[in-house]
Amino acid sequence: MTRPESGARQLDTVLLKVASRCNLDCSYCYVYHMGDTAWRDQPKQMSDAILDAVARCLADQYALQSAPFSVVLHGGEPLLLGAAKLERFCARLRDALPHPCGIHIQTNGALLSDPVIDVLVRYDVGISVSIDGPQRVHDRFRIDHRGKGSYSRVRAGIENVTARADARPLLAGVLAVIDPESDPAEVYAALKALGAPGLDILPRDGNWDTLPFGKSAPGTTEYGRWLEGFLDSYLSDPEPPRVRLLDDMLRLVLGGRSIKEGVGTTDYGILVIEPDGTVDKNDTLKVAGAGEDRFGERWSVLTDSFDQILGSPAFADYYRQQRPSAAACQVCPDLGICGGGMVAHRWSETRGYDNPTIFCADQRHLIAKMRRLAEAALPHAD
Amino acid sequence: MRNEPIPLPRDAAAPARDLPLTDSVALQRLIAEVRQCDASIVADTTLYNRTYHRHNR
Ligand code: SF4
Repeated sequence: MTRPESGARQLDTVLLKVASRCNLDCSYCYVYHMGDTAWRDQPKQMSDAILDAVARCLADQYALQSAPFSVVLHGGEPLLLGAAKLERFCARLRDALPHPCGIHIQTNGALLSDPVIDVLVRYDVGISVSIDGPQRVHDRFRIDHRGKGSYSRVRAGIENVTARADARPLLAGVLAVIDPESDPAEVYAALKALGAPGLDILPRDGNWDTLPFGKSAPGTTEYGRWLEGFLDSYLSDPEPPRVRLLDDMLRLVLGGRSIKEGVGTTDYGILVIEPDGTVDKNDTLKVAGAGEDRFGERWSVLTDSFDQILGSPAFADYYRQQRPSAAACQVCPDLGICGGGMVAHRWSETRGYDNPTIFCADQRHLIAKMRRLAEAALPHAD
Repeated sequence: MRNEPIPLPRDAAAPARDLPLTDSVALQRLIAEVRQCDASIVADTTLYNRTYHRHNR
């Protein structure tokens, strides 16, 4: 959601939780393994009736606001819908949201078969696949319900996309969760070799009460140093793809603008629609604690419009929450680049969200490196 | 008796020396984009639709 100077809040990203279950069981997953069990109360899949209501609400909102927005099929694993239901959902959504609105899918990639890819091609659905790097790194955590690594299935799924001239342009990127004990150069090379135009990397989730995996204390910089290694690989690559997180941060260091949540101080927000039609806050807030992603009031696409929701005081509070309130952030020279990190990563039981991100030391380490590089590079720029 | 060197804690390991990255393709690409006013990039519907939904999962 962005707030133009003169208008009401607008949607920019809507996550459709079309499936509440997953065919994989990644041990770090924020949906299933961070203490929130709300997925158990949801239907396994969104129904056609709920999807109809979603499409109607989104079309109404698109008619009201000037800017297009993106809808992301998400889960759980959205491809558990199967090709036939996926086709019905994409047809209905594309009808409600013509171009330039974006329809996108975030998938674990294991079910990217030809019939599924046919549907994605027909409705111009951008594809992003979660994969953590080379097989050894990926299979450490991205396992199925029998504890078996998923790498070969995911890689085969990506190759099904890249092998087809009609589908290849749909592959937007691959998204890796960082294992700070891995070699960032090896991870960079493995992700790049998949052939996607963009890569993205995410730290493992955590907060001030539950430290992220691999971080031994709030002040240590395991993630900052890993990211520095990844940055070195990226910047020394003569044919670099895009790296979303690093591009965003570097753009800010260079005086430009960022695009994704959790970087910089631009206001974004995410609305999530659950399989039963409930409208929730950004699902990553589950990392802070069970139920942290719910609004106090229960909204549903069956009874409420986005216009009502976006104009409500509860939504205004959620929106404000993105801005870091911690005193340390207010005086931090890196605030404009770090933005206080992801809201969920600021959490502690005693202070709520009134903290810097748990990755503060990592951010400062990485930003210092970026500033040195930018200073050295600018005189060389044409 | 020979003293074994005490292993450095992971955090105390010397950071890699900055590489000579001033002519980095990725960095120069970003510098050019920012100079051209990156508002036009943010508004690019292909990028926006394909890659740049805001959610970070
Ligand atoms: S680097 Fe730390 S203090 Fe600075 S804005 Fe980020 S979280 Fe806040």
